[in-house]
Amino acid sequence: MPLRSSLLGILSSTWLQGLCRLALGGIFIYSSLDKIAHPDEFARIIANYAILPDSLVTLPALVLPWLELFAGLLLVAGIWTRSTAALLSLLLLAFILALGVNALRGIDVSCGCFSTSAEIKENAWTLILRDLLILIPGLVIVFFAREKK
Amino acid sequence: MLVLIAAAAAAGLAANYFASEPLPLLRPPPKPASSMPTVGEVDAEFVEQVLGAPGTLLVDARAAAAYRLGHVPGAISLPLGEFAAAFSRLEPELRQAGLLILYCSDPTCSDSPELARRLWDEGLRNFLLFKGGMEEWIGRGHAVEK
Repeated sequence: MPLRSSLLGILSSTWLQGLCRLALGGIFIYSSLDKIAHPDEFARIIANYAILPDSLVTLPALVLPWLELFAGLLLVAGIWTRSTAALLSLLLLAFILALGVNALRGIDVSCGCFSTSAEIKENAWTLILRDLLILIPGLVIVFFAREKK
Repeated sequence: MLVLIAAAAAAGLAANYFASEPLPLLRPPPKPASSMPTVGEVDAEFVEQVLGAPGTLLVDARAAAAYRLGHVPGAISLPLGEFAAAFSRLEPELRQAGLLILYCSDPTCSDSPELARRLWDEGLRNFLLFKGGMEEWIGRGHAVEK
């Protein structure tokens, strides 16, 4: 099927894969910086999600931003591309799940996605839509990146 | 993937260890310094006089279970432990009220002062503390609603 093979060709093309790596990696590098600089404020934002007990929010607040930074850097550098993209996609799915829980509860929380400011409260459904869009390059890499031989 | 997670954990913990103010690992995150001024306090007599007055809302900061066992008549429950969800639900009512009176169990409890700080951070300014709380209310022989 020429259409299917040309679509596969586009999705696995070097330029699209590179673009996806730069986009996803860049987004995660950028989003990690403010959280690394202000782990206390990020911990309060995680606590506001009201999903983890307050006593368990500090550890993810300390580790997650570094995970985002390292994974973003590796992805941009093209190292362990597929597994890094899979990890970031799983992170995004976890964020979507957490936002979904609060959306169903009717709570608009400060996302903590790109900033640790608790003042910025956004509609949870908007944030879910944004995360789903960010998930697209991750899935393109996971499912269509060519294995290096 | 595991290497990456381990590296991130090591970096995060190390950064925290060397930070000027490390976060306690298994305790709730410290509260930010609030610019809230001292909150005015009222007693049971005042509360009784304004009870049911239009625009006045009594807010019980104790756990929901304690509220169910008995509260000041007409008070609404805003448990500090469930602040985010409860505030989101009650926000229109709280913002509409002319005066909020916050209380918890007794003069030593910290839930109502802490609730005042959280409400202040949400931009609410029109509240007073009924410092004596349920202990004073019951001690003065006032009715309790269940």
